[in-house]
Amino acid sequence: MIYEQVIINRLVIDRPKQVRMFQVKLPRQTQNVIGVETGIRWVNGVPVLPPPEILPWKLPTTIQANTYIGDLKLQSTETGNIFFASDLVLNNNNDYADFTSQYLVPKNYTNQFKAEKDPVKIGGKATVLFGCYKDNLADTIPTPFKYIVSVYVWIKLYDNASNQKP
Amino acid sequence: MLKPVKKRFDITVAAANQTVSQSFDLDKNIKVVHGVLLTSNKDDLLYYRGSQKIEINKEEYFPDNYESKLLMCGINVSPKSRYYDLGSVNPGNGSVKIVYQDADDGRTVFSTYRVSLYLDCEMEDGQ
Repeated sequence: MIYEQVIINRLVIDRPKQVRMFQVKLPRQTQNVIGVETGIRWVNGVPVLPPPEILPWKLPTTIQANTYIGDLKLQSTETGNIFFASDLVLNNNNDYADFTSQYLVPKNYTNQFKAEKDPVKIGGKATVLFGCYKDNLADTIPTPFKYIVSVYVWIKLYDNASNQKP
Repeated sequence: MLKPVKKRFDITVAAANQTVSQSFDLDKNIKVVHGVLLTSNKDDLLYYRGSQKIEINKEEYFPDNYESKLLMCGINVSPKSRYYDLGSVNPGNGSVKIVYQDADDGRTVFSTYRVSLYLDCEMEDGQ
C-alpha cells in the first residue's frame, strides 16, 4: 500500500540574520518527496504593521510592501539538488482591491486561500534532505525577536519497502 | 447507495498552552471520509495559536505540531472546495481522535475558544 506522510521540522530563530542548517530524515520506505509547506509562529518581537487607514474609506488600490521574514532552501543529494527555495513573507495586502473591505476588514484568518502544499517530485533514495533557513527580519525590525519556523515535508511511501519498492 | 454528509465535533480550549485530547465516534453507517476542515468561534486564536494531531481509525493523518491554519479555509475559497482532501479514507471502527495544542503567539491574547472539526463523509443510505 502507498500512503502519504508529513515530516515536520521546527526551527527556532532568535538572532538577527541567523542562518540555520538542518536535516530532514526520510524513512527508508520513501518513494518520493511530493510537497513542501511552511509556517511561522511568533514568540516575541512581532513586527508592527502600519495603522489601518482611517475614514473615509476608499477602495484599497495601493500595494503595501509585504514583511519579508526569511528564505528557505531544501536540497537533495539526488539529481534534484536544490529543489525548493521560498521566501517567508507576511502578507500585508489582504484587502487589495477588495470592495467588501469597507465592512469586513480582511485578515489572514478570514480571507486566506486554501492552504496547499507546494508540489515537488524528488526521489526518495536519499535518506536525508538538507535545509537552510536564513533570517531577514532583522532588516525590518531592529528590536529583539524570536519566532519558530515550521517546515513540512510531504512524502509518499510504501508500508513495506522490502517487497514492493522497485 | 452512499450519500454525502458532514459531521462536526467540538472541543473547548479553556486555558492558554493547554493540550486537549478528545475522541469521537462516527456513525456506523459512515463508510468513507473524504476531507477535514477546522474552524473556530475565534478564528484568529485558532489560526495563530493552534496545532493538532488527527487520527482516524487509529491511523495518524496529521502528526503533532501540524498547524491548524493549514486546515482552515477563508471566505475566498468556494464553499464546495473548503475541505482538506484526504482521498477516500475507510473510517474502520469510526474512531476519530484529535489532540489539539494551544501555544502562545505574540499576536494574540488568549481567551476561551471553541475548535470545531468538520469531516466530509459519505454514509450508507438504509433505504
